[in-house]
Amino acid sequence: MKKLSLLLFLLIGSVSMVLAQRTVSGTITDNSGLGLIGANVTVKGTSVGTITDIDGNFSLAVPDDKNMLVVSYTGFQTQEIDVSGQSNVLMTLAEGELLDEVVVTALGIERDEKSLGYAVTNLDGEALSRSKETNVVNALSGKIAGVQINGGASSLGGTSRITIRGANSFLGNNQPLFVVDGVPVDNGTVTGSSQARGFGGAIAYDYGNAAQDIDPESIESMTVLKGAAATALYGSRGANGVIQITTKDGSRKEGLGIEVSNQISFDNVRNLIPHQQQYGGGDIASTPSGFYEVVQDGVTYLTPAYGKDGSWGPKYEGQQVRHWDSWDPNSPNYKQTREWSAPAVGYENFFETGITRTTNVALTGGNENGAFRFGYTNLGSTGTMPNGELKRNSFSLKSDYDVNSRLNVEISGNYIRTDANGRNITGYNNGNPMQAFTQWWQTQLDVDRLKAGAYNVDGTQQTWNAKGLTVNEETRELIGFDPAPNYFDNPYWVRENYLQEDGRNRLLGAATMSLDLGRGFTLMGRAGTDFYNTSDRAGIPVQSVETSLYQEREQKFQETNFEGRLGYNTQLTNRLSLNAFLGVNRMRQLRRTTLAATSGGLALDGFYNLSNSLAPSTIETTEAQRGINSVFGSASLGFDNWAYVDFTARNDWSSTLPEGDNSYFYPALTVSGVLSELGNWASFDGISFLKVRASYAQAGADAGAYRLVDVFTPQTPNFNGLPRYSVPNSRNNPTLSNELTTEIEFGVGAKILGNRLGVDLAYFSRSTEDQIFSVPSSATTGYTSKILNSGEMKNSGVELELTATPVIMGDFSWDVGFNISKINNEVVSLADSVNSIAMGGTWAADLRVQKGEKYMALYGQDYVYHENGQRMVDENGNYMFTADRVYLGSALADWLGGFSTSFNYKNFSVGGLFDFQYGGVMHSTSLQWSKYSGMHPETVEYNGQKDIRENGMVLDGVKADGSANDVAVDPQTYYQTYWRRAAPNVYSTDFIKLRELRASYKLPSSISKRIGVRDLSIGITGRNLAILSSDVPFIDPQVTTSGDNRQGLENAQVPATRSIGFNVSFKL
Amino acid sequence: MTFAMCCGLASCDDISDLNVDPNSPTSVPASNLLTQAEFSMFDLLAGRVYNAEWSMLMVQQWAQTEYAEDSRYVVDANSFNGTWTALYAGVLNELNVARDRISNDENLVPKIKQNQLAVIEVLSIMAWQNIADAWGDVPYSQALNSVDFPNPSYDSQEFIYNDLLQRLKSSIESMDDSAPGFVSGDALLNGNMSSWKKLASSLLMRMALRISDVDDGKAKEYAQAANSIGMLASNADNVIFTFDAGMPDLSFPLYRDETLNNRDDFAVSDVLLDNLVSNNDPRLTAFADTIIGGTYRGMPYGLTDAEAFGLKNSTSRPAKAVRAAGASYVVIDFAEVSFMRAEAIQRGYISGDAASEYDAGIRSSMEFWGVSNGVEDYISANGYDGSNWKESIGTQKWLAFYMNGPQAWAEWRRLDFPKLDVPAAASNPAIPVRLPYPISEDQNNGINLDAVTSDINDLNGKLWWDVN
Repeated sequence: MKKLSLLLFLLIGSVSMVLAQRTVSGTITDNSGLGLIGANVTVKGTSVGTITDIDGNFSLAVPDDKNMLVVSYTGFQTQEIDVSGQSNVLMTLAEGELLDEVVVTALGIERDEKSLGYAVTNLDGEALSRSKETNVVNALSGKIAGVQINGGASSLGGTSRITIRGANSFLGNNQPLFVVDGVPVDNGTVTGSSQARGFGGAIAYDYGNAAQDIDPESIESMTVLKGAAATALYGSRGANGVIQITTKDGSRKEGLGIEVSNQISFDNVRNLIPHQQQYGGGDIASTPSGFYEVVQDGVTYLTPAYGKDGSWGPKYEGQQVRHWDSWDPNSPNYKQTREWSAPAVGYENFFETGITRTTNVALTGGNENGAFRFGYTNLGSTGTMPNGELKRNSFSLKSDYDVNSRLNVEISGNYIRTDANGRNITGYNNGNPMQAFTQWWQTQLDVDRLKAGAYNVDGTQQTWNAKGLTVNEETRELIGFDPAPNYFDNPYWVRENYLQEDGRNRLLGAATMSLDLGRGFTLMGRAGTDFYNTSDRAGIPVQSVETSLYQEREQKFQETNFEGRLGYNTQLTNRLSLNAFLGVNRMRQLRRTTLAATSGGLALDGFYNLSNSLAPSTIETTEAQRGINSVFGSASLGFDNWAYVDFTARNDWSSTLPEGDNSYFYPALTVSGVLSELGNWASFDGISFLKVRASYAQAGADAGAYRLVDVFTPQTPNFNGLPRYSVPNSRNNPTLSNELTTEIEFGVGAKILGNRLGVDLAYFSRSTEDQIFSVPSSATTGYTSKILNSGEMKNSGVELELTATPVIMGDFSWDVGFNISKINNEVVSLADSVNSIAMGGTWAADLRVQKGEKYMALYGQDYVYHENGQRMVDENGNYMFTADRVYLGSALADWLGGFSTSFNYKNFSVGGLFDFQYGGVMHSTSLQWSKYSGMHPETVEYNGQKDIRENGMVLDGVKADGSANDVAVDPQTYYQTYWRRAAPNVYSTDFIKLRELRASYKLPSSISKRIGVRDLSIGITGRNLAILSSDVPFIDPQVTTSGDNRQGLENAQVPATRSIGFNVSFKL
Repeated sequence: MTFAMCCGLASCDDISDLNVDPNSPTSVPASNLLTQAEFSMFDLLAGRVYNAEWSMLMVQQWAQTEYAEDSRYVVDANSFNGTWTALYAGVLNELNVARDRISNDENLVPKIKQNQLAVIEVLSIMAWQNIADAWGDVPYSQALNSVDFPNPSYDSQEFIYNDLLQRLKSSIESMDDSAPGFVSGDALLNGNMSSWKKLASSLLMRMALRISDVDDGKAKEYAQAANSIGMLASNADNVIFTFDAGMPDLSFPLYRDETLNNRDDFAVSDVLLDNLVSNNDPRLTAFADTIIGGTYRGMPYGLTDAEAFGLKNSTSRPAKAVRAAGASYVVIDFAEVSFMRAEAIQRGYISGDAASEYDAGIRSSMEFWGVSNGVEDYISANGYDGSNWKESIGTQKWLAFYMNGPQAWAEWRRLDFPKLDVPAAASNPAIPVRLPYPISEDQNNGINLDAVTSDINDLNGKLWWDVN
């Protein structure tokens, strides 16, 4: 109740009384007379202000009793102007000292960028919202040095994974902490380890990463804190970097503002694996035609083996055969034959154009005492697979109010409601149509016919892959036809009949009170929470090839933080300033999942209810609770406005460490020097700003919940009524202590050529030791692993960020940005006599955390190479492979980067973004099976050799003596024998992508005014437009099936999408 | 003041209370571990990976219908990680922890405690024998002691067998069938100690005979002991683990495979079907189903993928009942005991008439499989041949062990009958006689594993007791 009345108070308080005032307009220019866009113009002694438009013009309501305006602009001297008796002024600003740039650092503390001893990257909300990405993680692609994004281009709320500066933890989380307005926000996913490596069971839906609930339209700015020094104040949770989001607020301007924007975008799939066009599905029967012969009512028909899920069948020669849809006696197709030929359109026709509509309305208002912003965003999206839909309604309110000259209160709150149905299933599963399309398909199939014929006339499923015919072996007389699916359901039937629904209510927000105690002391208190409830339902129909099922799950997550901070800010001497604070934080987190599912299948088809279970339904609840209490502090000394020293420290008490030994302390020290502020700087022509910085920081981390005491695992259900418990395979450890990350960072930042060129270079080296993880042990000890503090992982690298404005001519400007990073990652050590942790794999490749290699190393059998560098073949013409699985690379890229450019001319703006990565690898199970099953184009034409199914193919390689291979092998035998060898399907994930192209036009105010609005802009944005360079054939190298650490195993990848969006925005 | 309040928030409450696991108890009765150990061991021995897709294929009872790699001895090195882990870190560790709990339970009546420990011991020995018969040399004396031996060294199969025989005999001697064992939780024999005693002595005979070709003296000693203690005396004594048909996850594992997972990967092999048909074996109908049209047709064993698929829809599947939800795993039965007694007599370990024991073995197998017509005709046509007793007993055990691949494979390796051919398309020159060691063991205990093998993928190195 208290909170509510405070809220009302803030709302009411922000509607201001209108004082007597007049309007002053004017133009602000530089020395050359060019209008300065975005200069700040404020009425001195008030918070009333505005910024100049593109031509340097402004218009401002000035209270009658005020006459002085203050004009400021980055890179120019701040000047005042007297407007007594004037209604129109012209002012030329003199170029001057670079003004301090303020950045938001850890815990939302605003600092002069020049005083920082570590790298931070700021992105304004404009840059983010221009991308029009619905998942905030994806909007970061290519924009920040050292950031790697995996996945993200598939539609309908799919998962994206983000890592900053490599990976630190062997088995724990490696993604950064998201913080919105000071409140940590959960970015969890519900994918298990088997889904992460491309499996995961019949209902392995991609529910997305939780941070995508953050509405990009509400973001004012985003700060990416990369290193341990930057994140030290967040403690262990910031060890992987912090993405700090500040939401938009109202300005303390008079009156009410209304902003509206609307966007519609169209998603189309790209990067599909094509099918060969010469042979159909099934196999070659031992008949003259190669088809199976079946006699029905005296007529002999030819038919392919539709029960097979592969494409080694007869060649397309226009033969008349009975197809999969000719066996239903009630169907008009019954006994009909059709031509044996490649389909006119392939499986690309299965996909639809996904449409995403986003409408955002924001209300802002304020007066000199406070401001508020209320935003509402409605997002509706349909997927690229049939029958997928996602809706998200986001409400945000941010309001602050000066209760008096010393006390300010602020409330920010977001309520997000997400509803989805028909999400995509990932990985190797019948429910994911990609498994059939890319791995186990018959190439002659026409998806339009599959759509038309998804049901038999009696309403049951009709699939292409029925168990099929039984014939009398002598007479070939038809005995029976079993329409039940053999391996695959009809993909249309799956998308129409599988049940998937979910909904999430999420509330995140904070209330903050700041009190100015005087004499440089300030006090801040904040309570914040992130709270959500997710309900989802999934079901498999009785007629599916999978066991029928209904499952419902409730997930509850809540994290609450209470934070208090006492700050002290003073000028110690003329030349020495002190900025210090001491803070405390109390964090409590609860995650609870209740999962109830039918058992043994459903009794009635189509009735999705737990009571419809053949055997008793099962229910299980898992709960994880944890808490951290912290004390932290910071002291910054500034000397003469050019040298800065920061000391920060934090002590955590964690619930997950042993009682009495649960406290851990870690310090950070940073120094920076703004050399350009020193004495005779002017002699260095062209360099207007130069800073060097260095930092040393540590960060501790605690364990997962419940790792200290050995427990027993309940096994459900009871066996004939007898309860069962097992001893967990992983042994807990009562003597755990904290992990420790240590990082050093050096950097230099400069602004050159009148600030036209900005450079920032950083070097970092980070090591995480005493990691808490399940150290594998021989199962013969009784346990397959034991939780220990052990091992070390190291990341080091260089990051370069460049910004430049190569051209400004009149109304034209050209801006470019470029960033690149090189990251070296190494698993330095694991544990005594442990060199490897198995992380699971597919048939041919597996992931390991391997001592001495990059994190999440991909292992499999490699080719054997001749000393001349060529792949070697044996005497039969088959490739030779290493006897053991060897290191083939890692999904972690070595080089990451992006290039952005924009051109502005008057009201026009066009821009583009390219990004790239280099030095990672992946294994493709889709390509492996598409060759095994004869669908891949290479199974009919290899390396320029045609008719290889008849004549064999000569693999590209050399014999033992180094001479070129000249022995032909049968492609089917080759692919079906060597498919467990990883190397033929391992590719580098190097890519260059055209991530974004956009154009926008702001209509002249004369036109806007005519239709009663302001700032009317229209734009077009293209996202994920093209892969300009990639080593992987057909599919997108930026593959992921989850937000899990296990990356690099492609399996039936849900296709990436290309989107084109149109947007319009205006103010009222 | 606010600051002081925050300080209070930060450090004064006891956060360790948050770390009490609400999902799992820290203490459970030994009986709950026993149920789990029994279920998981028999689930594994009757299941897909080690039974249907390996040992039943090795003895050619079944053949694969498509993707027929295993029947051609193409082995994925990861295939048996799970089997190894389930036996050591599952079954044996559960039993080990249960043993500790029983030993430390001061409220238990001594006789009952003794009996419970004996039950745990017999089950552990059964698991150990299965491990040793699959891989040969394995960690044993240093196993299951993660504190003292984080990297257990390997023991020879000979050492393990000798120790197990000794342990099994002692545990039988410690049983007191005037008192109960586990009053609840014993899903196999419901705490009946006289049944446990019969099971244990039958198992002792099985282990004794298994080493008879390499250590005749020891085999004789233990065979005599088993015989005098008293083994199963009729089919009524059969030790059978019946799965929980009402719970899909606990139903017969090959029912889950075929019906719940919809895997139609196995047909009855032509080798088995030809034997059944040509000998007019009444068990034919119990072992296999007819194809459409009412005839039996075995899947030729060891075909290539394409060849097998071509015959998939026209070959006989296993009879429905052998993969029913409530089907059972035969731990040990009277038929086996009779055949063992026949062999023990033949070898001169015990006295009696080998031929009549052999006949009794066939008869009780027929009875177990629920067939009666033509049994005596079959017995007279397939009489015991004392001069070629390995073929007589080997062939009949092979038939009687239908659906029990692990025992069928072990006895085939020891007796070398029936004669089985290596398929033309095989990737290995002989029928495998051991399991490859799991990759996980190579990764986590490689130094010790290297001391006993130079090739963890070896399928052909004979085990200690397999000398012929």
